Amino acid sequence: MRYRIRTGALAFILHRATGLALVLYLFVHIFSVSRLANPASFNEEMALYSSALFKFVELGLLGVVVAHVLNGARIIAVDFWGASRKQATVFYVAVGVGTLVVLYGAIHLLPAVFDGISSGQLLSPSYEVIHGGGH
Amino acid sequence: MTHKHDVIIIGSGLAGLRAALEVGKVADVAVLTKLYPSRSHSGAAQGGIAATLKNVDSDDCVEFHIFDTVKGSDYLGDQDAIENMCNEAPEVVYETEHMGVPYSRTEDGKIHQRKFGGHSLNHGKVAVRRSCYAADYTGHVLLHTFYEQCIKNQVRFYNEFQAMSLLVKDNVCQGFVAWDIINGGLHVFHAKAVMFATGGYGRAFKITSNAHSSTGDGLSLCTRVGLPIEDMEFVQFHPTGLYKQGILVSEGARGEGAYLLNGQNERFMERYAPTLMELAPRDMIARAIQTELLEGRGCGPNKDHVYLDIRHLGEAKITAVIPQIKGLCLDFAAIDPIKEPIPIQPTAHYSMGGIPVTVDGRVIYDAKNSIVEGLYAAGECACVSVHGANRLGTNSLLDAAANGRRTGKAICADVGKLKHSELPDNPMKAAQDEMNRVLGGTGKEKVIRIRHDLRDSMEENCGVFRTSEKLTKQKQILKDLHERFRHIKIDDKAKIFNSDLMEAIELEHMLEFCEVIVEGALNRNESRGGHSRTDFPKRDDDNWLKHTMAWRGEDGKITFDYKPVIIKNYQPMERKY
Amino acid sequence: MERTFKIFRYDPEKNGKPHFQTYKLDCPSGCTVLDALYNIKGELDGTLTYRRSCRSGICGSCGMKINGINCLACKTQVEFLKGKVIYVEPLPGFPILRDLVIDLEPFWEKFEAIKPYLINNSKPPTTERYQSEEDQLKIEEASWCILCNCCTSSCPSFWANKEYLGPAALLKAYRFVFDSRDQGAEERYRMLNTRSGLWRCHTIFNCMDACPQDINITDYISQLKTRIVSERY
Repeated sequence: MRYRIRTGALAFILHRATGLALVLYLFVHIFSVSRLANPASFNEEMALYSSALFKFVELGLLGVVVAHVLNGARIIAVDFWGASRKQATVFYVAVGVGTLVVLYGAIHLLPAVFDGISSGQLLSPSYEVIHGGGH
Repeated sequence: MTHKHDVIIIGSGLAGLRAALEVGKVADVAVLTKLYPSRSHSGAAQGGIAATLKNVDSDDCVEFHIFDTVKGSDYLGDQDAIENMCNEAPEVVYETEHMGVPYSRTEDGKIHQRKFGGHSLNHGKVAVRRSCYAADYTGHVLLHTFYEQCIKNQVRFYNEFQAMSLLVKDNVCQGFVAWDIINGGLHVFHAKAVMFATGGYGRAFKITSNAHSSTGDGLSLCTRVGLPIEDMEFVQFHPTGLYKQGILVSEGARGEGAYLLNGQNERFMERYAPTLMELAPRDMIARAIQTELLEGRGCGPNKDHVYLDIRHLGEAKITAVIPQIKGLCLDFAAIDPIKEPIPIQPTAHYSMGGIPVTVDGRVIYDAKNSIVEGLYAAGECACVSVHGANRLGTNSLLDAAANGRRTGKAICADVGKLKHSELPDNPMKAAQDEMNRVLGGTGKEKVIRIRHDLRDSMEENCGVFRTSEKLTKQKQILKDLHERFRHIKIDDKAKIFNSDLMEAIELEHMLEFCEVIVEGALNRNESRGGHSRTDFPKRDDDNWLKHTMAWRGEDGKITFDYKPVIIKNYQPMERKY
Repeated sequence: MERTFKIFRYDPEKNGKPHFQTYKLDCPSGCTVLDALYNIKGELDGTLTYRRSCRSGICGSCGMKINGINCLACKTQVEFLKGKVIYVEPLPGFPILRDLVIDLEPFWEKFEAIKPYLINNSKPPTTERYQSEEDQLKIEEASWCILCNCCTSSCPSFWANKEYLGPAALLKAYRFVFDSRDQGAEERYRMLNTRSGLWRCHTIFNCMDACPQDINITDYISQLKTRIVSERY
């Protein structure tokens, strides 16, 4: 029988998973920034990023960042503020706070996603791209 | 395989490890244990170790400790040995502190002390704080500290080895044979000196505070080679064992102020020991509880237990000074002692008798103190006798540490003169025969059934109160059980970790020395300390102020001889508390 | 009430593969898993092999994995175990000798590696060395460790790297480093401040969940980390 996973182990696994996800995100980010060679490509990318699907991905990114940050804070609390005995409680508080932050993000991001779904244009920009601007 | 060491100690409890530390200074020493050192049952001792440090009660003095121990022993303790132990106690405890024992501390940073049963000021006037403690983990931290020091001093350990037979010829010990439990196979241990520190035998009783491993193997290893054992009829029943389980609820609880209550919610100790009340010695309280139960004043639907009440101490104190008790009640009785009283009943706890030794731990083979060369014993398996007919609480850790140390010093003094005496031609024969016989059994009897019948009948017939009638009955029961043992069959024939074989071997040991307990009890027509005969309710100093020495022949026949009690400053008087 | 036990079996002498064997046993209220094993061994199958001694949670012999969590069999009440089947397995991460008996040598090696004894080379006074109540309380709970190996064998860091000292040894290191009477901290830091030392603790808390003595192990390891960082860097 597999060893039972409790809050501490769950937090540990989540921390590794979100950490890896953030590393992956970093590479994607560097890759996309490296492609911003001229206004046209900038516009093209911005258009993609403002699409409904990417709003959804952004919400996921927010979740990953929040989970990683809050668990990092939890580990600091455990290592420096003697929160070991209360580690499960701290975990649940972190989950609660994280959920609230992600919900707040969702309120701001999801309308664009729903718009995209209802108009059937998941990859179209959700707002007008400024032509010829920026450098 | 043969292992050669200067000194080998069988048993890794407090006495064995303390002796190993002493002997390690001058000679090559090894310790053999059927468990691991940190698993020894000394670790279950909770309340403390007695020594007149005067850290809390400055009026205390060694003289009072000696008197209390003598009186507690119902005057059967040898007063020279008791004087040694009590005089050495402060030094012994300071040494353990220097080794690193994390004792609880007083406000000024000294070792803290608490009250304990039978320990008093001015010869019984008022209870005194003499027991040095580390919360209620005193035995645990002592055992672990001694083990740690053994690691520091590179003592050689043979873990998970069961001693099988002692090699003694013409009253000279040559060594012994042991069985490697993990890998199977017998090993010969050839030594100049062998020391027994094999502990007690609570497992011979149904309700016991002792470990599964406390099967008194050392005692019958001695009787099998024709050596006597002493005062075996004196078994201590601890008054406060957890109901049905027998698990120890430390006397430390009463030391901190706990009450004993019967079914009528009455502090019944008022009637038995008006001065010391719940802090009377264990034999008296165990009898008091048993009397309450027999007279129908028990608690619960079956009126078969009484209550130990610590609620008035308050949560803060309970958690700070007796935390283990709280945990034990929650885990094993589903009782929160902060809110409810703890159901308890007397539990077989300690063996006052054992392998007879001189005051320095040298094993003797007759009533004239003739010494077996190269054989030593200390701790619960030995009978020095510092506990006489009844041991006081906290004197067991002291006995193990002080007499372990003293025996170690005796071995150091002797080891230069001792030599490795020649081994017999086939040293393993007895052990090999025993294993073959047990493994090859083809009968129908199950070890567990015989074991249960043994402990149930010992509890019933050789418990707190004994009568000639019950003991005679028990004598026959033991004969029958022995006969049944000849027809056992064990399932496991493996070499590796054969615990089935182990349990059978332990059972045979218990069957053998239980005969000595029962016949000794039947023989002693008086009531003294832990031995209470309702047909002879009075102590009889004219006829019985003497130690029983018992030999068990190969045919199971038991013969007795007697050794005088050493009396120095304290003549026997009536024992009141 | 009748309960079903699936118990891990392995007998190296029979060349058999490790497997689970099912036993059914009546377990009255108050019956612990150790009581159940005792009765299974006594009445049903004498070849079932496990370690045990004190049966009151102080000797540390009967650590095993019960329903996926390390604990002492003697402290685990059968009636509180949920589920139809009770799984009993040896402590994970150690070589198995037979059935529920593991090879503890790696455990003791790590225990001995951190110098688990008081180091104080000054001449002791004729009485006790003084220690304040406050200083004693720092090490009190840590000194209650029973060396049952429930913690070290529950630690994923240990499973991944068998060189890791593990929580039991680290707890013992804390008990001495934080003992006001001890002078051996520097010697121990050399063992603790290595790749397989203190820093392999990733605060997973399996050790604390498993500890039958309910010792705040992770906190003590954290305090060791803080102490080493502040003294060394």
